[in-house]
Amino acid sequence: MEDALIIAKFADESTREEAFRLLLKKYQQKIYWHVRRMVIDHDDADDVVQDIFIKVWRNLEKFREDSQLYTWLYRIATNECITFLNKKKQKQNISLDDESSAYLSDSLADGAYFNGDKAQMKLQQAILTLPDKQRLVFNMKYFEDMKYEEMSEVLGTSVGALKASYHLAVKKIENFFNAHD
Amino acid sequence: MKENNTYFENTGSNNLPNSLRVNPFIVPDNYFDDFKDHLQARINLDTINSQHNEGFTIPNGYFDNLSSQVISNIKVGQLKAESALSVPKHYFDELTEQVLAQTKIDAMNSVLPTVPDGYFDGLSDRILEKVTADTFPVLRKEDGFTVPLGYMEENEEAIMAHITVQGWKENIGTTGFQVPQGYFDQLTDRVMDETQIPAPIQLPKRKTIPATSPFKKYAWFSAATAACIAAIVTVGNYHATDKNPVTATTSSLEGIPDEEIIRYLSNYSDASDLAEFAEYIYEPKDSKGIGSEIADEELENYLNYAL
Repeated sequence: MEDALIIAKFADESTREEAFRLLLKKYQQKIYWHVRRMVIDHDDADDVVQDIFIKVWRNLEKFREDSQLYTWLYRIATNECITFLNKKKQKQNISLDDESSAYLSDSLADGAYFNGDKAQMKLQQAILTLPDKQRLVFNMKYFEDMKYEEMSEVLGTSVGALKASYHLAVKKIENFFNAHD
Repeated sequence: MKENNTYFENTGSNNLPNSLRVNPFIVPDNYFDDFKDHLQARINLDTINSQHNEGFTIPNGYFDNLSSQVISNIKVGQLKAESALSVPKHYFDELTEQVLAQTKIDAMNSVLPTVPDGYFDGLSDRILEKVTADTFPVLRKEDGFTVPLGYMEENEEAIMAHITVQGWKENIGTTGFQVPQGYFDQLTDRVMDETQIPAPIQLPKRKTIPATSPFKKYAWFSAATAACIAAIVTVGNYHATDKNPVTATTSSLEGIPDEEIIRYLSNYSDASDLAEFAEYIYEPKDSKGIGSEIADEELENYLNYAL
């Protein structure tokens, strides 16, 4: 269903719930996987996803349509992920200045809801060596194949900076593979 | 019985059918008319032949030189064939147009800019280094497309990253993450449950206290009184017998005006809210009434949030 139709239905109180169900059906998996790749653990992803969509419910009528609905959703999801990860760092007494995402490696090693092979595990471990924001950029480009212009709208960062960040991430991962062959 | 044999009927003599008596051979038209003249001409020819005098003459030694002449002619013909120049079909028809076109090309070449020495020597290698066929489309002159300044240089890194990443995607595939069975089917309902707004708490209508009521002056004292009453009742209930249990809730709230309850809740809220509510709790003489500056809706929203 067209996003404009979903927004129009949401604006009408009598069709609000129907519109929101349609929005959920359309975007829940995309948002879930975007979050899951960041927080790794399924239960954490579940919590964050619920928070995201509750925020969407509360704020959709204020959505000004100056960007795509998809971009707006992604922005909320990304911010919620960063907030969640920062809280997790604080709980584990990890400095927010600590760049690596190694604190998530326990969730990965735990193996719950992960049935990847050695290569997939190695890739995820490599990705966890990246800082959170660089991980975001890499995930969005590599797994979701987003255009740099879309990522720029979501993250509020210039296209050039995103390209540089992505290329650097690829190099780091490549170095990880070479070091762990 | 006499046999009635009709086999030999219409056959005539020699037992041949009459239909076969027709002569099948034919001759040219007027053959027999011209036969006499043809025969006479043949006789005359035979006569001449027998006389060995046909009336033609030949030069002396003709037959002696004939063979060498024929061979010479053959050789001359061969020589002519080898040295003969030929041109393509319609060559001269198109020649004028081609010459004119070439003159125009020569005129253009004289105004075109020159290139540095050795430019074309490594050009193909340079192009191949910077452009990969499956990343960038081939730019044809007639497309008219251009690229931003510095595009090729910046994207050398992008191309290398792209090649690396393509290799990973082919060999590694997806993330390996899983979800519990039926997770997405249930997610919608779970989110919808979370978004349902709970029934708001309905406060009873506030009783307006006249401005001149002396009670207002002692707003803080009243709040403290309410807290003390609540504490006393709670202690009393602690010693209540089992036969007559009294709930702390019913006992402590009974008889206490709503404004007191509101003030009590305000006092025990977060410190961040205290500053906001202090304005409404403290009542100067000329105040319009306890909490009169707070809209009912705001108060209800706050209580819904706090609870």
